[in-house]
Amino acid sequence: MRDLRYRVYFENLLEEVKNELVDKALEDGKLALGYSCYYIPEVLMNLDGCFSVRLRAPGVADTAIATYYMSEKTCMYSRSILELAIEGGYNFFSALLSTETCGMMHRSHEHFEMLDLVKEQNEKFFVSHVDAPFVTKDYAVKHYEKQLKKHVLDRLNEVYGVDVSDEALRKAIEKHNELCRIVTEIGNYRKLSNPPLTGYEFHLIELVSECCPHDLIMPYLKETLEELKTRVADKDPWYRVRVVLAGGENDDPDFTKLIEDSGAFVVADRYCFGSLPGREEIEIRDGETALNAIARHYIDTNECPRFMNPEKVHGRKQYLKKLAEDYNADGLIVQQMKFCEYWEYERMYCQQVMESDYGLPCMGIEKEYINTSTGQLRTRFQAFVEALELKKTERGEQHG
Amino acid sequence: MAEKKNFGSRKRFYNGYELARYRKWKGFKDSWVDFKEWLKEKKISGELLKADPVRAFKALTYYHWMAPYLGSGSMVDRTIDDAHGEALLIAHKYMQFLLKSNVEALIKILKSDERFGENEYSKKTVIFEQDASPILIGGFPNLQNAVEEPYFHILATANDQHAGHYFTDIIDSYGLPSDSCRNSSAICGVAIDDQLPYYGACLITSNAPCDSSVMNSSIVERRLKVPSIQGCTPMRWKDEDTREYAVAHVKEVIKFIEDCTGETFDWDAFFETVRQYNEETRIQHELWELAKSPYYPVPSVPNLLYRSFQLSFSSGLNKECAKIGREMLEICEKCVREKINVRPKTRYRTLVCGAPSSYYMHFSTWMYECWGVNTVAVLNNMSHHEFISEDDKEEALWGVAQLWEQAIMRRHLVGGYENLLEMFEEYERFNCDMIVFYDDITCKGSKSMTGMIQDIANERNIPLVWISHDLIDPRAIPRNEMRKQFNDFMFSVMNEKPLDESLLDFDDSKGW
Ligand code: SF4
Ligand code: SF4
Repeated sequence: MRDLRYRVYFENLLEEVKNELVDKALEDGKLALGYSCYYIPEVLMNLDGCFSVRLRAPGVADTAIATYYMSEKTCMYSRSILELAIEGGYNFFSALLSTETCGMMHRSHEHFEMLDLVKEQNEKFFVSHVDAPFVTKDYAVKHYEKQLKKHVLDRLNEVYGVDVSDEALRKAIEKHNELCRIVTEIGNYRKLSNPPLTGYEFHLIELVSECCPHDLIMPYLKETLEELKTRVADKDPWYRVRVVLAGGENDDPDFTKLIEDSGAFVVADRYCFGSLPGREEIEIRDGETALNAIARHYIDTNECPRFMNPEKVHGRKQYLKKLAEDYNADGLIVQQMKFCEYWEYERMYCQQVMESDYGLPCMGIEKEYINTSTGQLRTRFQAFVEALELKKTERGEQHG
Repeated sequence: MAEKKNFGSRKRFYNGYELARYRKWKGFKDSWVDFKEWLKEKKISGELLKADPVRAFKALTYYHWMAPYLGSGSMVDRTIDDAHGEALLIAHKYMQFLLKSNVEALIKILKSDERFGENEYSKKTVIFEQDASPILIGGFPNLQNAVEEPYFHILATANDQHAGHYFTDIIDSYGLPSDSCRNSSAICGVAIDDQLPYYGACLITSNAPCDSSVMNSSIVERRLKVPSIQGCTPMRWKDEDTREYAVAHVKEVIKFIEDCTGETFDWDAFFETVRQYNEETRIQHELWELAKSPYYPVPSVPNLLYRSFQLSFSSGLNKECAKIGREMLEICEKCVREKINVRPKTRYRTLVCGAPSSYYMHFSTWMYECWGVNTVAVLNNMSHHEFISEDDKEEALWGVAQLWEQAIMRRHLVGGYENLLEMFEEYERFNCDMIVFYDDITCKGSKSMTGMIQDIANERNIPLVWISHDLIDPRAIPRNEMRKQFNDFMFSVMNEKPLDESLLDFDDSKGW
């Protein structure tokens, strides 16, 4: 298969947080708004005059200072973010929008305040904390909406004069939906049995869409979509099995590549930083304000293991099963960052029930933010691929 | 490795064990008090077997968490080892309250456990999960409450250091990494090993104190097989705008209990419980006032246990709690007023922060005996200390929400970093000159603040020592390892010599 035209460009964009598109948006006078978690709706950070940057820490090889602050027994994603923040890597931020959803990530964000980070470069910089609900009841959605208004919209308006009117939100939703449509259309190619796109390539695309200003990345995404319409896949599919990749934080396309190099095509990305959920269009229903719709949407689509109500607890497994059906996957890989409490439990749970109760073979992986033990991981992925192949053979299906 | 031989004050113990050949001689008067109170404690423990011998026998042979209660006498001895004079009496009173409440709670569990046959109690029992105050049960006089965690692994491990890791081993083998909070994971081990009693009309789960306790709930729910409602108390509890949501949740819980049991919430009975709860809280505030004095007599460990379990065992539901509190208050007032010093070995006054290790609850006792470091304040205890409205329904429900929000551990570990940093205010408030931080290696909320805490302590010249432990599993960090960390600190940072060399380095890794 011929290389994707923008593959290298996308890879380069992901090498740095403050990449050339971010620079361009800053030159245009836009406000860069950082966030980590799905509970902060991306769309709210893309109001006129603002753009969202989902926190990554590319190139941070050593987290010595962050480890001093947060100890070595915490999630490395959270520590890497702090390390880069201390190095000044997010000094271009106008605000960091945080949620007390995952304790470690939240602590990492709190260090921005405790250590007075970014403030020196931009004295208006602020960190705001949203309280997100654990259940999906009406009163919980209402609470979430109130929190988003108070801690995201009102702050942006008070500090930077951002227009947060219903009209402005509707406009942001429209633009957001357009981006979602394009990324989803690209992602849908993964459903084909011999797709013109790898999981690695899609991971790049999804990440640039989360880490670059939407207006500026959009032309590249559109062109990529056009390119895919005519991109010819190799005659025979390159993969041996198809898998859904689920789990917590994963912004490392090389991790997806490692899985694919072992013969498993990553057909669906159900992890934080993935597109499922993340790239569903927001629908404004009759009688709803734009903010009503956003709050409802981000609770409805949210697949975070932090939700405690049974509809969500079981719904998460059903969603994985559904993805496997829609994307024709043979198995499921659940990855979990070392020390991540939410996904430690969810991964364990999935390993216990996905095959027995949902008929979906499942493998669990504990990983680091920066994976050094790739040899070991590769061996495990290969073993899983073989096991899945065996099952396929038993079912009389062809490989690939 | 050559076996360490006990000497000096450890001589009365069997090598390797915390089991004594004979009781400690504390002088004639204290030894007599000690013996008298010890007999009372034996009597209290015996009640468990007396209440329903058949069920008690069955439970003892089935439940792994049950047998350690046979060692509760030894646990009491360990925790009051450093107490003399008035302090000794107080320590015994605290521990008797704890034992009694514990035994009563176990009797309730035994009687309602359907594993041992149908009974009239099970369907009258509302189960509250980890860290959640059962105060609402005050509004349902025909119902009883059960709070899960304290018995099955925390108190069991306090009684027998090796009781809890049986359960964490189970959940580890199920695939949960051992770096996950042991407090939350142990109860999953209990559930998976089918060691939860079969009882309850319904279950109120809890999202307190932190992420892991959010995640363990579904495992407990799956095993208990009773209708459940999920705890969803806000995290940012200092944010005024979380109130409406928090209160809506409390109302929903009341409605849920009503639906599951057919009972109706009785506001008068509830307000009576609230009054009782407020009385307990008032006493605690007064005790804290007295704790600022050098003559405050309360030994730390019984106080710590009493306060922690007051939330689960009472929250206004147990009249005995305030009664004991008042008696204690009187003795304390006397000591302070008459300048009676019952903690004469005190060289340093310390604030203790972080979750104490269940397998080494009596660490503070040892600090006092070996080094003269007197624990005068416990950060965890400064939780659930707000008063609740005694006549306004909406305000009272808000009070219940706050009680859940500010439960032990949760009070300081979530809702903003400032909450944990309150430790420095408490340090000043209680006139301390040292901080001991129980560094539970699986507690992410405090681990992710270590640098900041150390920086502030350095800046303010506050001696601070981290004592790493595993919470439940003494095989990971044995008690002697914890002592070594403290010894190193006292030798190298504080330049001190121990009061009792025989307590510096000994083996108590076996048995209770
Ligand atoms: S797992 Fe949940 S809390 Fe953690 S980053 Fe993802 S969405 Fe947020
Ligand atoms: S990977 Fe887990 S621990 Fe790390 S930020 Fe995400 S939810 Fe939190």
